This record gives sequence, C-alpha cells and structure tokens, in this order.
Amino acid sequence: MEDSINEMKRKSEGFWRSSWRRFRKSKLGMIGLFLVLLLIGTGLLAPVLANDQPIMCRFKGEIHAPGLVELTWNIPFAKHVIKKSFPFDQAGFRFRKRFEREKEEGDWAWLPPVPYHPNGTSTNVLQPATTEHFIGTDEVGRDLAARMIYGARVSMLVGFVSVGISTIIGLFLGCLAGYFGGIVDVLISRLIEIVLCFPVFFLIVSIVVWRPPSIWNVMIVIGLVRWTGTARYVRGELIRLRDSEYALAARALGASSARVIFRHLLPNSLAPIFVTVTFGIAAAIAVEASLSWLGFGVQPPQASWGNILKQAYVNIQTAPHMIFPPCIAIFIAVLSYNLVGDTLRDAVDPRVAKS
Amino acid sequence: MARCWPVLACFLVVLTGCTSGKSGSAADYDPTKDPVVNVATTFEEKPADASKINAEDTLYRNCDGNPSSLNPLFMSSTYEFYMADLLFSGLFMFDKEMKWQVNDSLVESFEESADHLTYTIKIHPGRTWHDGHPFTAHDVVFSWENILDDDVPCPSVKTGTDQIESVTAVDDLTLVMVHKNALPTNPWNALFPIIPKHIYEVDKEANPDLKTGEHNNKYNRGPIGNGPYKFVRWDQDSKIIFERWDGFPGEQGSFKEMVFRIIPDPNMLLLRFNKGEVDEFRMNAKQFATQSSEGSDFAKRGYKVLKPQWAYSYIGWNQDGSNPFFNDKRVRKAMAQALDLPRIRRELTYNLYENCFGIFHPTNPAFSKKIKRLEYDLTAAAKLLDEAGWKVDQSKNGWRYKGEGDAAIKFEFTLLIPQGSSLGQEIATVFQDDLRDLGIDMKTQIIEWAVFQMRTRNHEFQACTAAWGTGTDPDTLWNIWHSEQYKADGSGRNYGGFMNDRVDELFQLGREEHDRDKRMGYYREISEIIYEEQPYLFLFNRATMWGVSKRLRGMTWSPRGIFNFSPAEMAWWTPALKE
Repeated sequence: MEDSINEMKRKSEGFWRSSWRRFRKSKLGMIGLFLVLLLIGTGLLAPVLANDQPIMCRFKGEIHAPGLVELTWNIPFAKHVIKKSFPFDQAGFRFRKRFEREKEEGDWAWLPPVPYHPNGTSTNVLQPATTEHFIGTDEVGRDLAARMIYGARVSMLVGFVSVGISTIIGLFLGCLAGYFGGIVDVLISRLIEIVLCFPVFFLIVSIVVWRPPSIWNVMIVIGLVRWTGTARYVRGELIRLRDSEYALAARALGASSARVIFRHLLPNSLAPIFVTVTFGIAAAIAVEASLSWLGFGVQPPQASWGNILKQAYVNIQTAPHMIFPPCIAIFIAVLSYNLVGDTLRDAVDPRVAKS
Repeated sequence: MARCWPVLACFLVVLTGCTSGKSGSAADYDPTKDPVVNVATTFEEKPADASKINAEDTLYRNCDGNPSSLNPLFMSSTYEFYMADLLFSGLFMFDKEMKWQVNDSLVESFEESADHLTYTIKIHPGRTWHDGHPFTAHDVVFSWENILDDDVPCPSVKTGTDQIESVTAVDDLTLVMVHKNALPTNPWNALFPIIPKHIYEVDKEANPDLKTGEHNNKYNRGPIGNGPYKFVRWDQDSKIIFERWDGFPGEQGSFKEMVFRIIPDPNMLLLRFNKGEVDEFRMNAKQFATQSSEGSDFAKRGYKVLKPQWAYSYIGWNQDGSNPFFNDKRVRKAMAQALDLPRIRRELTYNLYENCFGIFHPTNPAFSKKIKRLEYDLTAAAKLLDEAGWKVDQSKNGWRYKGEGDAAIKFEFTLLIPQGSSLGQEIATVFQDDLRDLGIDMKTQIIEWAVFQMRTRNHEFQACTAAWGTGTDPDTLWNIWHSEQYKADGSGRNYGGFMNDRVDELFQLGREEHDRDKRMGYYREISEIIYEEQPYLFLFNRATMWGVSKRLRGMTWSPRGIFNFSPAEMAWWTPALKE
C-alpha cells in the first residue's frame, strides 16, 4: 500500500521533471549541457569579455559604462533605446589611446579580460600566445581570443535562428500532415521528399549569385531546408496520437481542429522535437563554419570560427598557433550539442530510461 | 560517447605543445639579401653543345584545376594559356621585350603594304599538324572565320581579331590579311590562335559552336595542335601529359615530356614542390618571404625567381553617379591617403611588391616620371572629405554625413572582394580600421569570381578590388579607360565609368600615330591624368615570384611573367646526368 502510494506520487511528478531527473543521471549529458551553457554565456557576455572599450570607467571626471551598454544590446531593439555616452559612441574613438594621453587624476578604467576589439588591427602580426594576447594574433594583428569570443556569438546565433525557423515550419506542416491525413498528408509528404533532396550547401552557394552573401541568408536557407526531419517526426507522432482517447474526447466536446492539435496533441509530441532541435543546432554550426571557410557565410571583418579557421589554414606553415582554437571550438560546440541531444533522447523516452 | 575524450585530450596536448612556436613575423624580409633568390645558374643560357643537355628529362609543372578546354579559342585561365603555347604555334609571336615577331618556322615570307593595311603571308611548304595533316592557309582562314562567328562563344579572342577586314587564302600556302584601319596595333590583332580545319569542320554543321557534341568535345579535351609539344593524356583531377613533338620545325624543347599536375591548393603545391613532385610554380608573397628561406625544405630543392611584372592591384571606385560618394575627385583622393600602404607593403606583402605609380610600370616606355604618389596621411584625407561636404556628425555616432536633416546620407559603402583573394581581404581589414577613424563605414563582400566579374561588368558595385595585367601595347588600355567602353550591356571594361575627354582624345591620337616617341608621349599624358583623377586606388605593382627546381637552367622573363612569350620554356634546360 505504502509502495503504491509512493508510486502514485512519483508518477505525478510530471513529464518534464522526470525527464530532467533522468537527464541528470548521465554524466556526459551534464558535461554537454555545461559546455552548451558555457558557449551561450560566452556569446551573450562577449561585449564584457572582449572589447577595446571598458566595462566601466571614469574618463575626464565622468563615469561611463560602454561595455555594460553593449551588453544590454543583446536584447532585440535595445540598441535603439540604450545608447553609449559621448565620446564612446563615436566610430573613430580609440579608448586606450585617448585614455593614456588624456587621463586626468582620479580616472580609472575597468577593462574586459581581453581588452581588444575583434576587428581592431595592430602591427603585432601573427604572434603566438603571449601574456598580452592569450592565444596570439592573426595576420593583420587582431587579437585571436577576442575573435574567438565573438565567433561563439555567431555560432550560437546561426544555431538558434536557423533551427528556430526550421522547427516552426516543421511543426506546422508536420501537424497538418499527421492530423488531417489523406490528400493533405500526401501533398506534404511529397513536399518533404522534394525538400529533402536539396543539397543545403549548394543551395546557399547558388543563392549568393543573386543575394549578397550574409549570415542572415545562410540562416534562412538552413532554416528553409532543414525542417523535414522535424516535420516527419511530428507527422508520425500525430498519426499515433490523433485517435487516442483524449483527442477523441476533445473532439466530442466540440473542440476545433486547431485546438485539438495545438492544445492537446502537440504538447504531447514535443519531447522528441527537442532532440531534433539540439542535433539541428550542432549541424547548423558545422554548416556555418564550412560556409565561412569558403567565404560565403559571415562577411569579414566580422569574426566567425569558420573564417578564423580559413585564415589559420592560409598561415598554417608560419603561424600554426592559429589553427587550434577554432578547430577545438567547433569540435566542442558540435560535440556538446550532440551529447545533449543524445542524452535528451534517452531522457524523454521513459521506456529507454527504465530498461 | 566516452570514446570522444581521448580525442579531445589529444587536441589539448597539441595545443599546449604549440603555443611556443616561433614568431612568423617577416616584416623585415629583404629579398635582395635572400641567398636563394635570383641565383645565377637559374638563368644560364642553353649551351651550344647538345651533349651537355639532358634530352630525356621530364618537366613537372602545375595547374590550379582541370582546364575548361584545351582548344585555344575557349581558353581563359593563365594555366590554359601556358598549355596553349605548347600545343599550338601561330604565324606571329612576341619576344621577352614584348616585341612583335614573325614566326619564321611557319612563315616563309611576310610583306606589309606601305599603307599598313595589307599583310601577304607565305607559309613554308611541308608544315603539318601533330597528326601529319598539312598545315595550310585554309586553316588560318577557317580559324579567323570561326573566331568571328557569333555561334562560337569565344569573346576574349574576338576583341582585336574583329579589327581585321578579311583573311583570304590565295592558294594553299599564301594568305592575304586586310585590316580595317591602319592601326599600330594591327600586328597584335593578327595574333589570333589557329585551329585545325580538318578536325573542326567535320562537326561544324551539327554543332556550330565547336564546343558541344561528342566530336568537338573529344578534340577540345585532346587537341591536335602544331606546337612544340603534343597532347598525350589527361587524367581528370590528377595530371595532363604532353610529349615533345619531333616533327616541330622550330626550336625544340629540351624536355621529353611536360606534365601538368593538377593542384588547386597553394599550400599543397609548396609541399609537393618540396617533395620533388613539381619543378616550377608561382609562389605567393607569404611563401616567398616566410616559407622558403635558407635551411627550409624548399631551399634544399629549389631557388626563387623575383622579377618585376607589369601588373598592378587596385581598388576601383564606381564613379558613374550610381552612388553619392565616388564621383567626387576629392573623395577618391582622400581614400588614397587613408590607406596605410607602407604598412601593407611591409606586413602583408613582405616588401615584395613595389610602389605603384598608376597604370604603367616604371620600366614601361610609357611611364611618366612626373607622377608624385599620394602618401598615407589621415589628416589630409579628413580635410579633403570635409571640403567635399562629408562632415563628421557627432550626434550620429561620429560617422560622416553629407546633406542636412533627414536627407543626410551616411558615408557607408561596400567593397567587393573576389573569393580566394586572401590578400584582398587582409588589405580591406586594414583599410576598414583606418576608415573607421575617419568616420567612414566600409563593408566588405566576398563573392565568387564569376559573380564578381558579372557585377563589375554591369557596374553593380560601389568599390571593388582586383588586378590588371598590362597588355603588350598601351593601346590595349583603350578598353579600360576610354569613355566609349563604359557600356550598359556589360560588354566594356570601363567598369567604374571613368570619363575624360582629354584621355579619349589622347587614345585616338595614340592609335593613329606611327612615330613611337610621340606615341609614348600621349600615353604618358594619359597616365598622368589618370593618376590625378584617381579612378582607382593604385595599391602596388605585383611581381613575378617563382619557385624553380635547382636543376633548371635557361630561365628568362618578360614584363608579363615567365611564360607566354617566345622562347620562354623552350629555352629551359637541365644539365645532362653524368654517366
């Protein structure tokens, strides 16, 4: 009796909580999750981790916080509301040079750990790691650590935006096909098969012919082509669930198709989607890196791991120090998302967890 | 999953092991002090005693990709032209001074009429193609007709050749060539490639483009030529093999075989040279300065050749009025003063590229000593921009704006860079940083080469970076600088819309003048005007930089490089092996 009451209590702990409990048991999954959060954190905190402007300072007797202002720009549209104070907002303003020259008594500056702008060139070219530049500089004297940190931002952005687009499309079309079946299913399934045949890479390369190469195009194309996996997953789930008792009950109570799908069926088939999302992000990061390597992705001087790797490759004979940071970063990013995805797949599936 | 960790651990070990690598900075590289540059033996002339020459040697060359075709009508890349020179031999050629010559091995006699309009050419009897079929005047007529045939897609060969009024065969061995006008450039216009009529007439009716169809394809991939080397085999993505043709009537090459290895990647090319798989290759500045010094793997096997070249790199401004920035000369001058060229030459090109004084190289007879280079000076640049009405607006983040209120335009433009030009990207990065100080926002766009060409030809750009090689005669610059070459349909090469009445007039005068000194005077004035107008930001003169095997001798060079003139590689040789 006691046992069965405990059993009931455990059952009532809910799907997400039990999944999390199972997730936590996997060491690799937790390491993956930690790395993923670290990467996201690095991306978000980039303006205070690497910047040629201080996080906060007192300059000519006034307090400024340009680094913190840039940090708030992570919020969409905040850039138009929160602005830097003069002279930190000026394009040609070089803080470090001016601070040395015009410093007044009592002025201080709290600089980021990597006190360089990712695009700031210098005459220290192709230097290996020193105490000044933690992982060296590239062929126009830019600090590699700063570029790696901003590269993380690009990778995170590409991963989330492109997978966001593909998930929305995939969910919507998958629901339609799975719930309505019949001709709708036939049409959408054929569409999936057609899109499945598009080689993402060549599609992006050919789109460059009539659209300027930009990271947004890359994200949109990846999003528009990579939704098929999600759609097929959702379609399968909905076919399984549409005749379940609770769906029948909802329909009998007069709920509309939209309500049945989005209120009842979709939440119950979401779990496996998270798995495709994590794998999708890993794949998108790899695609972005390869495109930037070819020069079709992120446009210079903006840093991305792919174009850092490209420069490193050109200089591999003279400056081998450049090749490792981007390689390791791409490797870890892809690996950690895959670890999370792998663990998540097991965690959301109670049958696997019990066996 | 746990298997991943050892891999990661290895990575980290490699990383920590490598942080103490030596500095790659070669900013102080001085090519004149490099002992493996321009070594005397490389240029040693062919000895008269043939027994000193190794006649059985193979020369391993390289090519950056599979050629699009081996038919000289359809060639476009540098490497394809190298191959064409070996496979085909024309009626005329030019030597290393870029002087035009009649090809004596094919032409028995050549006469030019007093009015410079008519050439009468007699071909030696008994000349043949590689397959033994006789080489006749009909081949020349057939080639000329096909080059001008609209069905045959060979635009690069058409220019110039279309200045010939007619080419007729009087008999099998006599040709009459009539020019439209008495131009000093007529001899160069007569330099078109000649293809075998007996091969290409077979399928002319079914496939008039000479390009498609099984028959044409077979011979475009395995051509029958009449040059010093004949085609043997083409292994896709691997190599192309040519063999010395013993029936060649002119000077024979010293090498029994020439093998073009297909190696697209410059890093790989250097490694394969070091391994002895390649005997000559074009080096980039980085390889030349930092990866081939004394004691390196390279220096064990090779020497370097460094010679001036008539080719310059530039950033071109679109001044046709489609953007609000560059039709103002002051802005263009400001740009030239905003680029830190001394730093770029020192750090990015390792002092290998020389200062550029506009469209002519200092060794060109049309070069003007009067041109004073614009020096790097940000203060002067800022002053010029202020004068041109582009003022720093502190209320708008310090960028430069022109105009008042809402109509104000931000100084923000995009520089197009062809994909693969890593130097172009590096220069852009340095430029961008300095322009930011001036309050100018320069964006960059890397695009694939074909798209780059399409966009520049159609004037769909604000700024672009590329390089020009100089043609054999300054008149060839007509198609870059004459105002009539700014065409809406994209057929002209005046991409940026440079318009100057005096320059147009001088080009016309130069075209009609037969006195060489007077003619050069006109071109000198053109170069002065062009430098003053700054339609381009002239970056630097490129250099011929070659890596060659130590055993090679007899190298020569011309302002266009070490190939594509007579004799070029025909004069190369290697010493006989001692028994």
